[in-house]
Amino acid sequence: MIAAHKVSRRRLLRNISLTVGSTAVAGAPSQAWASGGKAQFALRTAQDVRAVSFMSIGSLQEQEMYQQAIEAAQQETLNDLNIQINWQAAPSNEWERIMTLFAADQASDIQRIDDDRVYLLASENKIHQLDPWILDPEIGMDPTLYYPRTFTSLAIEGYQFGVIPASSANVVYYNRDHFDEAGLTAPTSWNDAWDLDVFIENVRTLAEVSGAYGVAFPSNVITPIMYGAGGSALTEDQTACAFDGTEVEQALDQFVRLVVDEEFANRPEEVPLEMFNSGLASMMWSAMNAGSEISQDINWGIMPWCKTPLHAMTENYDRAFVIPKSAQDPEAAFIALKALTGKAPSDIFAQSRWGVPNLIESAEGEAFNDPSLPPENKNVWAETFGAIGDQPVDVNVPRGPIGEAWKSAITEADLYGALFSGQITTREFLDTACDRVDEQIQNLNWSSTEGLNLLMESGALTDPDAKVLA
Amino acid sequence: MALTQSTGGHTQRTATSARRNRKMRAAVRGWLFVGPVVLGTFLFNVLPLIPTFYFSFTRWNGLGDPSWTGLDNYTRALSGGDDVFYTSLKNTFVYTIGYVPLGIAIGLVLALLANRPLPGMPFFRALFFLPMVTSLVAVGIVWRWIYNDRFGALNWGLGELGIDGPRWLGEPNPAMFAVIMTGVWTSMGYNMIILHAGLQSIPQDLLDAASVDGAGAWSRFRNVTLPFLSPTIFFLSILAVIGSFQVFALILIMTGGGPGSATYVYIFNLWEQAFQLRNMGYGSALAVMLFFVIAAITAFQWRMSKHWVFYQ
Repeated sequence: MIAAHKVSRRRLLRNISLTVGSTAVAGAPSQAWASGGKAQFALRTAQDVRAVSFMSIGSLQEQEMYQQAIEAAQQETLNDLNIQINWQAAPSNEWERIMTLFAADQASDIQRIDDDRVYLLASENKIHQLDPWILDPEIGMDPTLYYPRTFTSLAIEGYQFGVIPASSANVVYYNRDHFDEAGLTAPTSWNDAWDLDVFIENVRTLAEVSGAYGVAFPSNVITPIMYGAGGSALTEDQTACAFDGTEVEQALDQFVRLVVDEEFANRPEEVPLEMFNSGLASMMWSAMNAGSEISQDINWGIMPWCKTPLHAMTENYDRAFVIPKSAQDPEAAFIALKALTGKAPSDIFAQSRWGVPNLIESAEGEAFNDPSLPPENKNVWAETFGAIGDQPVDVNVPRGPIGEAWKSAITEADLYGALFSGQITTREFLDTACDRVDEQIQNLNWSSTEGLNLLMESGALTDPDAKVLA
Repeated sequence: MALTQSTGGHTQRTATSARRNRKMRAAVRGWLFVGPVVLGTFLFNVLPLIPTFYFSFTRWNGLGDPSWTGLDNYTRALSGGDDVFYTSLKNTFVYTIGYVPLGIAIGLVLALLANRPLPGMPFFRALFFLPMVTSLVAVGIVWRWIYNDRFGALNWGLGELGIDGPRWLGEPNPAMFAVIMTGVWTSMGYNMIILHAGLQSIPQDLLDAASVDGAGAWSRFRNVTLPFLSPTIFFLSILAVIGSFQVFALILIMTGGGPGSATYVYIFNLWEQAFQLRNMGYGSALAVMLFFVIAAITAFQWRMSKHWVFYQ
């Protein structure tokens, strides 16, 4: 903050001198000079404000939240710095449309994008490397103010190409009435999460007592199930799929049985939120913003997903913001982006339950932990940023083309659907998924060094020596 | 004489010129009417075909520069390099074979009913047309609930009749059947309206004459109504076949292509390749192949129409 103010004053003086000079040279209307300081200031302000456009997809509530966050950032820092963020509505609610904007070099100066797409944008030289700015002593970010995952989670081959103001934590939403009926008490911390066996048994109990599904989950829950049981998706050099061990098979098999044989959990075509909102599921694994979409008729709380042998128990979604190469004033865009991670905007993100702020002060502050706002155990969201022992709660899925290939292989409709409708065995699922990943590795002739080569060759890495994670 | 000839020639030339002018004015008026549509079709339908065709010979992720790969994308699809290519093609044919005749047949039955001078018919016509103007997303969600085997209305109703309903969207064959029936339900109102218009254009005196000649209801339908409706049915079948090859939204919402790949149709594969996996080159190749498949089937329909479509 202090550094930013210094910049502000220096820039202000520079800009005033430039403006005065250029106005004088251009023969500015004498009226402006004659009318005194006010008109002169208006003229200078109009010319000096560094405009930064900002765009994100999102629901109407989210769009309102962004506008409030922008206003908060303006008040907190940006007005002093003469930087103005201009909100732009996204052309649709699809990431693909945003990717089209990137392809056409028409993305906004600060662009929110799906965290899974940042790697591709970076390797295609569509977005700026941010390390030099983050490390800049004057305009940079102080890493100690943020959770470490702010800089590790989205790192592309160790470099920063995006900033994460907040992350959406995936937790279990549970129906309190069903729990009361079944005589169950929900765990209140990831440290006390149910073991897999206890979890499965309680799913059965809930289903039998309530007549609803014990649990409803989307296809991506498979990631923490597999990670928690088996370690890593790829070999260390990323030349082969490694996720086909028996421990993964056994863990996955328990969930398949719940769905296919016992019908205690939802099938792939049943949408978890619909089931939960209808009282037809006692638990639901979902992202943080699901809280705002739960029916008012449901008395709900949050709890952790089940404990897995390696404690990797959930997958967070980073709210990623990037600066396109097409940005008019990328430095101003970075300063504005940094401002959006400040206390006031972070508090708005926290209050909106859009994500756990990555700014520690905000995540631990009143806005996020306000006791008047549901649910009770908010720590369950925030704890997903932490670790149990040495193992982070949040699964560290590999990014890049092979990471994406792996995710696609296990969550794609045909394989995942076939597994959870009983058409293929868990072993067949794992083997086929791994075959697909291996095929992609072969097609791209991929190894762990390829990612860095891509960044270098495309010109995306403008300053390889500047590295926040050095 | 010479003067007369000259005057006659002049008159003839003037008349020819006036005719030409009239034709020209008519043509200009015509182009003014169709111009915006022709321009729009050219800009937004024809022109994009050119880059799509080019990209189909490349590897391209939609962001960087495409790299020329020749026929690789086509070879990949046709030689089994894409696990689901033939499955998706087969599923699309199954959907078409179920959806097109059933949709037109039900539309025809409804049109025949709507053509009767019964009280309240305009209301029922509007009612049957409602699915056509309802959002496909809403239709998909509602039908997904109706088909839910544990909590849905359909199996509840069947249960009341003592029938144990299947897992409609959870097993391959019932899932495809369920999706086809939803598609039919969505399109039946449109088919009804078009066929109803066709029915009203059948000359009443022909039907009366057939009655006088002793033709019964079935015979009148078979020998008068159907032949007169054949151009309308042909038109609907062309549109329905094209539409069924492009079915996507309903499947995405109702089954997501599942269970397994039971309802994984061609466009679903195209969408996943191009927009989920960002294999734009391969996705373009799938689009080009679909274009030729639809063109071939439409051409076949035109050729076959000579044998059954009756034009007045």
